Amino acid sequence: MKYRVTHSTEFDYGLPVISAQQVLRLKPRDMFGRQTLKRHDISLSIPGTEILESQDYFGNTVHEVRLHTRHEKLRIDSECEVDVSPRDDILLDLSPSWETVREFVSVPETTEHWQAAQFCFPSRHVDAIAAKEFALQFAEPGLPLLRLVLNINTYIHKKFAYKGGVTDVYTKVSEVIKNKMGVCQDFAHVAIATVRALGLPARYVSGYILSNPDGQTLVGAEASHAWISVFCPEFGWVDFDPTNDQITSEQHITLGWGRDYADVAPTRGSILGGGRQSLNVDVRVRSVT
Amino acid sequence: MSEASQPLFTLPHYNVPDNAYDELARGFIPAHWQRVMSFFSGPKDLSGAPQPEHLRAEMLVRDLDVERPTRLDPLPFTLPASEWRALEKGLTQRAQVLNQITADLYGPRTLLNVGGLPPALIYGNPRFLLPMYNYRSTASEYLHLIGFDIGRSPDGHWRVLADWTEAPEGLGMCLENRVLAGQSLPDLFQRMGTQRLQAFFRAYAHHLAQRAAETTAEGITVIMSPGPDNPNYFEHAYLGQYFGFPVVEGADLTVRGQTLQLKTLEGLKPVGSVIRHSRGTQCDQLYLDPRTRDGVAGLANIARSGHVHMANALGSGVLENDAFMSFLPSLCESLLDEELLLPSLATWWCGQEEEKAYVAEHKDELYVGSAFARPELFAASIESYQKPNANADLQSKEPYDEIGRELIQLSHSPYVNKKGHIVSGPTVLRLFVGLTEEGYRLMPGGIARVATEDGEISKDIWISQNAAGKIKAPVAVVSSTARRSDRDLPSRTADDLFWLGRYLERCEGAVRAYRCLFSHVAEGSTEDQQMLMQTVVQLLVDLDMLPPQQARQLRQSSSKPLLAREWWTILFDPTNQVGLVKLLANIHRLANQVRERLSGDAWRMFNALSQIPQQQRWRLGNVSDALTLMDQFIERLSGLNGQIQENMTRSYGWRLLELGRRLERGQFGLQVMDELVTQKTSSTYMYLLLDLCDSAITYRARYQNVPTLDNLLHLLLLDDTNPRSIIYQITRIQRVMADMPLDQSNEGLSESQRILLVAYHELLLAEPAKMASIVSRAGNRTQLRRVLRRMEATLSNLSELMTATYFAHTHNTPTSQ
Repeated sequence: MKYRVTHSTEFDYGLPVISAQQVLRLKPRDMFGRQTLKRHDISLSIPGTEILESQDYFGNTVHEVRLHTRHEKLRIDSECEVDVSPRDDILLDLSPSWETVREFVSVPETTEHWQAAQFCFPSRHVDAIAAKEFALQFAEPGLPLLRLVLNINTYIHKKFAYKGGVTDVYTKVSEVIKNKMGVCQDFAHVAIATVRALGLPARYVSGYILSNPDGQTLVGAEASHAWISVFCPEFGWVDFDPTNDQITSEQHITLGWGRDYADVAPTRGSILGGGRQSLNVDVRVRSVT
Repeated sequence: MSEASQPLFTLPHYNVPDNAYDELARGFIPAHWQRVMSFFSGPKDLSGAPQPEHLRAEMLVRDLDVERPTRLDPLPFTLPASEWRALEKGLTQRAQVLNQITADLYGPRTLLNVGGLPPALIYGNPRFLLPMYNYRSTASEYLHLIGFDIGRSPDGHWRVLADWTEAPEGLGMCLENRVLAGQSLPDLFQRMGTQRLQAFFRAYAHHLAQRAAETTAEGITVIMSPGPDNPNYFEHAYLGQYFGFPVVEGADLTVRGQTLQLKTLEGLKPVGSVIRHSRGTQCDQLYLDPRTRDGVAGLANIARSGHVHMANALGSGVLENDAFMSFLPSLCESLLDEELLLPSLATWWCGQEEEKAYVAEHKDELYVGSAFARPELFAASIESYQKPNANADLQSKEPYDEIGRELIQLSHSPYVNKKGHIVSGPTVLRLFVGLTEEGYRLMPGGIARVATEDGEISKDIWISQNAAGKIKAPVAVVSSTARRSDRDLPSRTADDLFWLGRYLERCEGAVRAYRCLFSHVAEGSTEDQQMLMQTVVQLLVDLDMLPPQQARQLRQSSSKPLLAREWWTILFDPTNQVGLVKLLANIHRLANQVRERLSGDAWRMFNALSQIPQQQRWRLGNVSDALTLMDQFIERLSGLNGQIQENMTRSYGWRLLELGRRLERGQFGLQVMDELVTQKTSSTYMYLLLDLCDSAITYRARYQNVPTLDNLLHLLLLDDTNPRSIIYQITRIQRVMADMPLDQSNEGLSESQRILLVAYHELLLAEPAKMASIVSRAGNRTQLRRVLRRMEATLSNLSELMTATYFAHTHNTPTSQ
């Protein structure tokens, strides 16, 4: 499926900002066989801004923007065309038992297992230790790994309420588990914490989701979306969307991944000056032929 | 020990437990201790009074007026040459191993992928900074300074208790201890042939300065500190002075292009090396911890690509993990192809099943703790090495974050207790290995920490010149950085001084306004005065000097009893969000931050200013007390201003204070006069204005009549002999700005010179009579309003220009390389 995505971010700082630095992760990844990036443009409302492009540790493209001119508002426009292939090779019950996978990554022998091993531990937004008790209910002995992750996914989808404005970037996993509500980012963090609490590798994926495929509305379409990816020796990294109770296929467009939100936030900035800041994000995903 | 040997001295209070090693060899004082012990105990009477040397050292410590983590004992610690050489060999080898591990973890990571280090040991540690991957540091130097805690076990062998690789503190304390101990015992110091520390420090600093110059053209070295709130700040300041390196905070630095720059009054200066005292994660809010307040946005990225040399490397804290102890012997063999010379305490890492079981079983004979979050440098108590901590609560930790460590019976060394007796206590040495041109060298000295019944004390370590190998001391550290010029004034300090000037003036204005408020209340309540009071209340609200809640009350109710009752609350209630109490707190904070630029007298006056409210018992319910208090404030502020004007050299520091003061005074004057645009001008009102602007006496002397508006305007706006007039502020600012760096443009006038000239001429041409008389249909004095607005705009533009040019460096600086 081919998509065209426009993603605009508007900062209104209230008072003049005298200098600002932003790190943007807005360029979709090229993923062999899954996702092809046809075109990507990024533009800023302040002309002549220095933009440095580089890659981060996880291979995501990073644009670092430096503004040393006075401004009160900043608008960042990102526009792309992406081709996403369906994923139909996943057979849940053919995946190895979760205990086997845990063994693989705790004493890794291949490069692939070493790569995966980095995603087994707590990170800034993922307090896996706090999810230990919550995770126990999913630890059915001998269960195929992907089946176990799907159970976590479904549980979160069923028992947690999608509700904006009750959480923020720094809401802890333990609070989301307790209050059972939040947005896609919180659900992703809870799911990752649960998977990691069992000693298994999980990463955070940032991206977009098609708003209205076949008349059915998916949650998380108006803004950037987030879901998780779990390493499974037979299939590689498999993506699950706990917000929509899905194994992702053709409707998810991947921007990038990391250990949690902090590694792949679409925008992250540091400003000098400014007053009360407001942020307005607008994401439009359209399928094109 | 031969039969004939007799104890040289008797030390009646010196008792070492049988199972501990005695540094004094149980009375058969070893050769290296003999000079020290005969000096302290030889001819003197040991039974009674404290030794004069002891007292003198204590006095010196107090005079320095610094917060020290521990008390200094006058009796030094010493070791024989042979032992010291072995320690140097062992610790420099260890430094090499630790450096190579760091290089690998932030580079190819072969130790993980093929070397057999378990993933949890590294990836489970939050101090391993993933964003620092492919970290290229010049000459593969990641660790420039490493602190080691070592202790001697009963068999006489030294063991390493802890490695400190993040940002080891203690160097400043060593220097200080040395100054104190050397000053209090100069003869003994000479006679023992004690090696000086200077060569080591110079070689260490020289090497960093050299790296700085190689890393970026004209690159300087800075000391990056979390700031005066950090408990170790005194040490950072001390080292800064000693090395001649500027001590800076995150906000002083900025990344431009691929270079780290120090913001100074003179503009941006490239930084090549950073001696880092901030935690790794706290150094960059963009690529590391996003919640950091004192980082430098983008620092991690340019450090990683080798465009700035960090000492130590960002992420070096990953090795402050006791679990490494158990891997070190094999890592040493695989990395250096050598046997680890100096053993660590036996440590079991619970990330492994067998070790975990062992620790669980032997809990009562071990120290059990977190691997990743171990106690900070000096917080690790000496006792924790000696006693089991069976009750340790480790419920919430993962096994890979737990270690068990063997306990050690530490050796005892002598110290002088509070009664003046020589007694013994368990001892830990903190030694430092630093990187020099000739590789790693052990600092010939250090801190001996001794646990006593009154808490921990520190001792200076004296090593004789023939013990340690000579360290080649460079002739001079570096010429350009050793010079501490006023122009290198960091922009943040400049900003602080500027605001200090503004706040002092604001305080004076506010106090005058309060005084008017209180005195008019005291004088009576005619309608005219009621109106005046409303004006003053409004002015105070506009100045942010009166909480809105109280302003409302003052406007509504009969204000006299209210003011009498509430004046203390209005002025000094600590919960007030605005007002005098906040202003005084800000003045105190800023003065504290620029303390080293103020004279001792000025500093004392600042202190006295913020202490006025606490000095006396004020009678509540009595407005005249409030008036007295305000008079006191004015006196203190005038004294302080006099001190600044008369005794401060005309450095950039003074100029910034002056600019802040003039800008604020101008803005205050304009704000006060704003009422004149619409106000019907009664003479009482004009008296009030003259009072607020401290120009009443001048007015009377000059005009000798009841105020008229055009005379008043002339005096407050246009009279260049009145130090309160607007034109006076403009000319003062002009004169001071002309001496500021970056304002001497080559092509014509600078922007600030231009706007000041325009304002000056506008005032010259203004006609008081017209300003007073031309009134619009709506009742506004339009001419006056125009002039006032133009002056307001001038001053606020000027303030913004200063920020951009001197503090933020966003004005006329290229945004790309």
